[in-house]
Amino acid sequence: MEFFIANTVSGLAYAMLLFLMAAGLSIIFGLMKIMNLAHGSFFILAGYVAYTFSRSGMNFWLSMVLAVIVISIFALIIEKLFISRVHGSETDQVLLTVGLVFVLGDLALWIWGGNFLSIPVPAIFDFSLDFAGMTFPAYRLFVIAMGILFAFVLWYFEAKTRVGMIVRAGVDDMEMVSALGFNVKIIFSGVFIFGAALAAFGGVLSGPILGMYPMMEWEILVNSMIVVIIGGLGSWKGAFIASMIVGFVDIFGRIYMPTFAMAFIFILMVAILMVKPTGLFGRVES
Amino acid sequence: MKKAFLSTGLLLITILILPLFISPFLVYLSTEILVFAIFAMSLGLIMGFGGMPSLGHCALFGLGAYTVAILSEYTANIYLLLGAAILISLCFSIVTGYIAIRNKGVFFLMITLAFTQVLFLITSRMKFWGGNDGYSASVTANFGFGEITSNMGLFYMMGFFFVLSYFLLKLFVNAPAGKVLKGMMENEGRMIALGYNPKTYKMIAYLIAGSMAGLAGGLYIYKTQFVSPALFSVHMGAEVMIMVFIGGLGTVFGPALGAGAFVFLQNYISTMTDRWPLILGLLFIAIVLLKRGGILHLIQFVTTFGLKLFKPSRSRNAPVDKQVKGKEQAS
Amino acid sequence: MKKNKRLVLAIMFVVSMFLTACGSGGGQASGDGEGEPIKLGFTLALTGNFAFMGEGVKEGVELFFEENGNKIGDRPVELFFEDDAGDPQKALKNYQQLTLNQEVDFLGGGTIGSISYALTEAAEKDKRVPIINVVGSGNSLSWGEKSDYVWRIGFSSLNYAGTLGVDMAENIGKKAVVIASDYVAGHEQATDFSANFKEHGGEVLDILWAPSGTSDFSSYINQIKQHDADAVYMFIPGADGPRFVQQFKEFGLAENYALVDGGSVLNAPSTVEAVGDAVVDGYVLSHYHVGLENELNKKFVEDYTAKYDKVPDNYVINGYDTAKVMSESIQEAGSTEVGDIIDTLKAGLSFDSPRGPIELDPKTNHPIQNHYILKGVEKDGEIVFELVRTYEKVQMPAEDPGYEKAK
Repeated sequence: MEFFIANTVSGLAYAMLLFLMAAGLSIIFGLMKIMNLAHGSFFILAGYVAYTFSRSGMNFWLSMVLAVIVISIFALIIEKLFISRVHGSETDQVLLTVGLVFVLGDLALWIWGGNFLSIPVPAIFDFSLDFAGMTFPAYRLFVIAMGILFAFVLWYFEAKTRVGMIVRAGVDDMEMVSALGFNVKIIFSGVFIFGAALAAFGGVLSGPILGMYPMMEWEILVNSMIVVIIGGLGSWKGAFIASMIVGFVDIFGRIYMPTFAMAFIFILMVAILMVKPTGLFGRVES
Repeated sequence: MKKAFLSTGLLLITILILPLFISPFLVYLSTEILVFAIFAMSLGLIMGFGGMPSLGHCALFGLGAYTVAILSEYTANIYLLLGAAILISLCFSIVTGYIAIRNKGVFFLMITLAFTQVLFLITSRMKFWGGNDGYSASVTANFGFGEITSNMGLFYMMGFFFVLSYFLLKLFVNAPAGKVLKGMMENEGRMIALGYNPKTYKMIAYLIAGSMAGLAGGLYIYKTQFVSPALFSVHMGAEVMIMVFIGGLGTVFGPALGAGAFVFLQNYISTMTDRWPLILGLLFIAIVLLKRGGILHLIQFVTTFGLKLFKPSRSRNAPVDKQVKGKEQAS
Repeated sequence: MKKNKRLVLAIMFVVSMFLTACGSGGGQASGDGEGEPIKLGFTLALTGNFAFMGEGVKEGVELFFEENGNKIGDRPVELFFEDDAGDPQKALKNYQQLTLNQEVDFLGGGTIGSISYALTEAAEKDKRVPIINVVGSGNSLSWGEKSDYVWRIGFSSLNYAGTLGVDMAENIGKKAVVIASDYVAGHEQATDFSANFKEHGGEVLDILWAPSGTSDFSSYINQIKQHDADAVYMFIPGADGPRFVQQFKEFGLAENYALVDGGSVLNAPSTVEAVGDAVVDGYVLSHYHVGLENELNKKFVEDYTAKYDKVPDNYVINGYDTAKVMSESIQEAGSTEVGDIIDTLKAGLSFDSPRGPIELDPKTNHPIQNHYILKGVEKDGEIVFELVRTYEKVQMPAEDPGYEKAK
């Protein structure tokens, strides 16, 4: 039982990181119909940037805020310069964003080198709680709390605010939103930056747990894509639930059937797509 | 039809005489180009004629490769091994095609990519067949008339399969089914109105492309004697996609040209600098932003222009007629 | 008809492309005369996950030839570095290119185990060029898959894991849990460690296999905690290793278990920097240590630090000694012919390295060298490794000892 609880907590922490990775991707696609394969690059770049800030003596929280701001500005530039030119053409989006992943990945390798890097755990969470023979690192509990908090904020934002309403309407029918007189360009930029900022936040948060190293952006991308496919494009609720599923399958699969943990997720994905081609909570028609 | 035979014949002759002119290392490199040409042409079919962009096409190539590598422990019969490679890739295409073709564009892309990544993770995490380290196989090609061991022999073997694949693809795109497929990409509504079911035609193209990629993967092992999960990586998928683009989307031969150009570029640029991924990425971005066609389009443009230049006024009326007709036939 | 012409032209274009390429690439004549440069080729992982290893080797090679005026004897040296990104397929392509196109006289490569195996197979088949295996640690490269053409300059799984097994049982603790990456090298290490550990009175309580690419080790850590062990023996190379070390500390295991690393991560200074105080009190075995007290090492560390502004690690010393072996064997053979170089190596080559004395053993094509047990300590706010014990002249047995496979 203790073993079970300890692993559940681990699975939850991992699921929350997955959620932060996937939520941005999901909403960017849902609203803008843009397949941003460079999403993982934002995640890992944020980690690298925060690493640089924290190495220069800043504390964890300040580095995090600065990194998220830097990545948001960067995302705005990318959106204005490149992404805005490829609306409507899927192959162009794919080529362009894959190109960005290569360029950003190689630049990161150039700047930060090929070693494994990691951000130190913030001092106030650098301890672990012992409870009934189990150990819970405080930082992981903090990550879980942040994940749940963000899920709640996103839900509130989507369901209860005016901006959320526009976004919801936009996922279903962007033309209608623009016909109603909203500036589509601004909405697109806003959503893109917000998605990137979410990824950046997740990237810094995961820095002390997963670290940063070359080619990690692809792992992040694929994990978030699986989450998004299972959960359904354009749905935060779907992303949240799918993150939990993938997180738990991964943790428990690894204990009981280490070799096939990935295969479980694969079978799960196929099964869900067979029954519901749009994913669990997908609203986007294909 | 006649044209398909003619171009195939020309290609065959080129392949036959090529090794007489080039250095041993280039023969080695060209062998790789031929394999990738088959692979790129298969992706060119679904992308350029079926409108299905796939970053996960390398799954089928990789499966073909793994199939030959693993089964070579039990049999050395090349017909069996390549047959199995094609069969396994075909089966995987049926499963993934069934799920992915229901979705269009980016959905199609995400799902195929996700499948490929799962294969990547499974092969890299499983300790059977080497896991991340890869699996080395010792296979020698023997079609019943002696073992093929030299680089030259391998070149001709790949050359044969390349010409064969080219010919079959050419037949397919000129056949009624191929034309329906292309028509579907250009205007799906019209074709549905005419009574065609788009999914069926897309599935046919996807299965052909899948089997061909499997064959290419199987052949690849005869050259490298080694498989690793890198075959399933996004890099691989992106690289073959760029081959299709730089060669010429929407043509049969273009992707093969693209494969040649790509392998050359990669080989020489990576000798000069470690920043190959950066250059590759910039190439991707440039292609998109400049919105240019591939090499074959460029050659076609230059030659059309050149032909006009060389015979400015000779029999102006008749050839124009022919030209228009020719174009109609080609599409 | 017009389409045909285009196609003909297209094909002609391809042919001309080949011909131009051949004109530039194939025209080089090989020379073996006086004053002709000696060509040394390397296929290393310079990008991707293993870039830090390949970079280190490259730096070591460059440092050596810089110290020696870019010369072997009185002939200038030309270096060719190709990137394989840790992918055996690319490494094989580089091998073909370097041997067929650049026609190098000596080749270095094998940043990771699978590449060493692939290169060994190719070298044995072609017999074109002698190869120094720069890192690859697979045991069978010294036994069943040994090739006259390939010589190792790094270490072997058995030497590392075996020595640690002995040392751990005698000095650290009798009860251990093993965690290793679930692939060939991981299994080899776990087997060699367990066998030697048990021989010296140790008891292995559990062996955990983590697939490579594991990012979250918490489930393994929870399993380790269920055992009442003295120490945890780990072999987790790549980016996973530092993560494990970090999470080991995060979950409070560092207080109750001694962490012993089979040479997969902790020996690289960069890793120590990345994981910080998590390595304090951890043990690692290495065939090189920055703090070794000998003249050669002093100069080596000085020169390296002056050039690259960091301290050298195992990969740098491997690169440095690779260059040394190439230089020594070509000079002793007095020729760059494959056969002559191989004969020289087979006659036995020994020299002094910053890592201590080295003897290349022709029975195993493997160096007989010192192994050092290091311990992580905090000294004036800085985290460093300290030399605690030395095992002198560790040798690779000439035959497979046939240990029972760890499961």
